Amino acid sequence: MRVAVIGAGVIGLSTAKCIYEQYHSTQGNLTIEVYADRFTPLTTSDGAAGFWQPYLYDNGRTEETKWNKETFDYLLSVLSSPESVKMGIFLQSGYNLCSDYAPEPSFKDIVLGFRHLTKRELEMFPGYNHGWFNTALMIEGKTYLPWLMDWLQNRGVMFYQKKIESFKELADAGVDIIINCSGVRSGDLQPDPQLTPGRGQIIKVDAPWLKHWILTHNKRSSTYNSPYIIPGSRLVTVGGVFQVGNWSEANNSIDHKKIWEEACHLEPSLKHARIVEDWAGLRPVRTTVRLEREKISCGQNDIEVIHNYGHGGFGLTIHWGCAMEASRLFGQIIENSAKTPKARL
Amino acid sequence: MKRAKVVVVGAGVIGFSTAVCIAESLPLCAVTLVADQFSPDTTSDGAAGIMFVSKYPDIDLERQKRWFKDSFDHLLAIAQSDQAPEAGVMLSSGCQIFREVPAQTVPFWADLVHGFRFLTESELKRFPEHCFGQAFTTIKCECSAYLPWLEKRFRRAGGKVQQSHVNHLQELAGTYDLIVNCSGLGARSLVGDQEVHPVRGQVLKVQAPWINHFIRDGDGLTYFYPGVHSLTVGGTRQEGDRRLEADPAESEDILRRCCLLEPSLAKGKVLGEWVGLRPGRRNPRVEREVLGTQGSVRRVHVVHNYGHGGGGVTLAWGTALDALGLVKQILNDTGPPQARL
Repeated sequence: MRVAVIGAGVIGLSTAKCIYEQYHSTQGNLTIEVYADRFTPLTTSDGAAGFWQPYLYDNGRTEETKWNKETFDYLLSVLSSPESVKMGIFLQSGYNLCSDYAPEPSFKDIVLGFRHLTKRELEMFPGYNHGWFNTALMIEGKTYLPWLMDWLQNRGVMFYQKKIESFKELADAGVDIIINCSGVRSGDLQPDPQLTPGRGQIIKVDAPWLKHWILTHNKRSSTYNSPYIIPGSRLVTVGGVFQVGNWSEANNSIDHKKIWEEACHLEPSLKHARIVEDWAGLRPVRTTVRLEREKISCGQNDIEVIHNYGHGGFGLTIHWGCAMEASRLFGQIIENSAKTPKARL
Repeated sequence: MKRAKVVVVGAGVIGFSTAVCIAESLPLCAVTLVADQFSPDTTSDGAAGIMFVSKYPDIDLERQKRWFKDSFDHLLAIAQSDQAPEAGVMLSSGCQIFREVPAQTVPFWADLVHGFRFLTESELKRFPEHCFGQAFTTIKCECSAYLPWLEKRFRRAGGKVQQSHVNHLQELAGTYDLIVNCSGLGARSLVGDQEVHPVRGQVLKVQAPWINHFIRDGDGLTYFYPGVHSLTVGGTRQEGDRRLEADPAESEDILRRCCLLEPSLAKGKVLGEWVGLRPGRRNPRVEREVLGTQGSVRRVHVVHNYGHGGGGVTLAWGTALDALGLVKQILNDTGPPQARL
C-alpha cells in the first residue's frame, strides 16, 4: 500500500503521522512518502504565530468546531508529557478585545479558564469596551514541524523535495492513495474556485516582557485584519492583515507601517522594542475546509485522493482533528479495497 | 530661599521609591540618597518582584489596601507605557494553590489585582495534592532594571546620590534637616530595632521560555515566577538565618518541589542561584520620630520606612507615598519658615 502525501506543512505532516499511527501495524506493506516544494522552516505553518484559536464564530460549520476541539484536547494531553517542550507546545493566556459587544465565541468551552474581561482590565485598552480572557495553547510551527519530520523519518517515511505537477504523475509512478495537503497552491493540482490566498504580514519583535497574547476584533474589519500581538517562545509576532486574493509573498512597507503603528497604540511598551524581521505568508482560505475523498481517473489508473486543504488562518488550530478525519477516510478506502478484488492493490 | 535638606538612607526599592516621591513632589527640598549597597547588590535585586502580599497583623486594613492600590496603579501605568522594558515592569498571570482551604479564601487585595477568581475543579486536577486555588493577573517589577530606572528619575528631579556607610542616624543630623530611614535589615543596628530580623530566601534563576504563568504554593515556600529573561524559582524562608551563600542541597530541593507543580521546569536551564535576606518584621514601620542628639539642642526628625519583609517591591510605592506624607507633615509643622510649604 503506497501512500503519497503532497505538502509538508502542519496538515501534511500531521496527517502522515496519524495514518501511520493508526494503520502501520495492520497494513503490513504500508509505505508513506511526503512530497513538497517547501519544507520547514519555509512553509506557511512556520511563519504563523502558532497560536491556537479558531475564528470567533463557526457560522454553522460545527464539524470545524469539533476538529478544533479535538486538536486542543490532543495538544493539552501532550502538554503533560516530557515531549511537550520539544514539540513547541505551551500554555499562554491573553485578551480577546472587541470594539463593541459581541456574542461569546465558539471556542469558549474548549479553552481554559474562559471569562469576560472586567471593567478595570478593559481600561488598559482604550477603544475596546468588551472582551474575554482565557488560557490557550501555543504550538510553534518552527518547532512542531521539525519534531513531526523527525518522528516520521524515524519510522521510515521518505521525504522528497519536488513539486508534484499532477495527481497523474503519482498515479503513473505506482502510488495507491494520495493525501492532498497542498494548502494555498492546491489549485495547481486541481482548479478550486473556492480556494484563495488570504495574505498576512507579520513583524517579529524582541519584547520578552510580554507574556500575554492580545487579539482585537473590529466589526468593520475581518479576522486578522485588526491588530494582534502574540508572544512566542523567543520573539513576539505582531500583525495583522488579511488580504483576500493577494498572492504576493513579499513584505510590503505600507502594511508594515500600519501593523506597527496599530500595535504600538494597542501596546505602548512595544515602542522601543527591537524589530527583528518581517514575513508575509498566504493563508489557504476557503469557504469550508475541503476534507473529503475523491476517486480520480488518470488514464489507465484510478487513484484515490483524500483532500485535506483550505484551513485558512486556523491550520495549526484544527490540524489534529482534520488529520484524524483524514485517517478515518483512509480506513474507508482500505476497507473498500479489501472487499473489491478488482481494486486489490 | 533656604531649602530643607533631606537625606534618604538606603538604595533598595524602598529607599529609591521614597527618594523619588520626595524629590518629585517637593522641589524645594534638596534630597540626597545615601547607602552602602546599590543595585545590583541590594536585597531588592534578587526578589522576583511579583505583586501580592500577606496581610500584616497590626496595620489598619484600609491603610494596607491603600498601599497595595497605590503601588499597583503606579506600576500598571509604567507597564502600559513605553517605559515598561527599561523599568523592568510587566503584567503576569498565574495562580496560587493551597493544600488546605485557607481561612481567608479572598485576600484583601483580590479586587485590586485583575480578574481574581477561584480555580475550577478541573483546573485543580493538575495539582492532586492541592484542593483550592486562586487565579489572577498582577504585576511583576524586576528591581535589577527598576532600581536604575528609579535612580535616573531621582537624578532628573534634582536628587543626589552618595555611596557611604552610615553607622548611626545621628551622624547625619549635622548635615540634614530630615532623615528618611529606608535601611531595611540595616535598621536593626542603625536604629537599634530588635524587631527587624533576617528571613533568608534562596532562589534559582532558570531559563524556560515556554513557561508563562506563575504558580505559588500558599505556604509561600514553593513558587516560580516567569520574568523578562528568566524564571525566579524558589524558595526558602529561614528566620534568623544570615547565610548569604547559596546552599546546593536547598537548590536541589527547590527544583524538586517546583517540578512537582510544573514537570517541564526540569527541561529548563539553571542560570544561577541567589540569596537574599528579607527585612522581616511583624509589621513594616512607616512612622515619624524625633531623635535627640547627644549634648546638642538640635533635634532631628526621622521618617521610618523599613521592615517590609517579603512585601517590599509590592508595597514600595504605597509606603513611599505614606512616607512622603509624613515628610510633608514635618516640614509643615516644624521646619524653618523658608521651607514651610
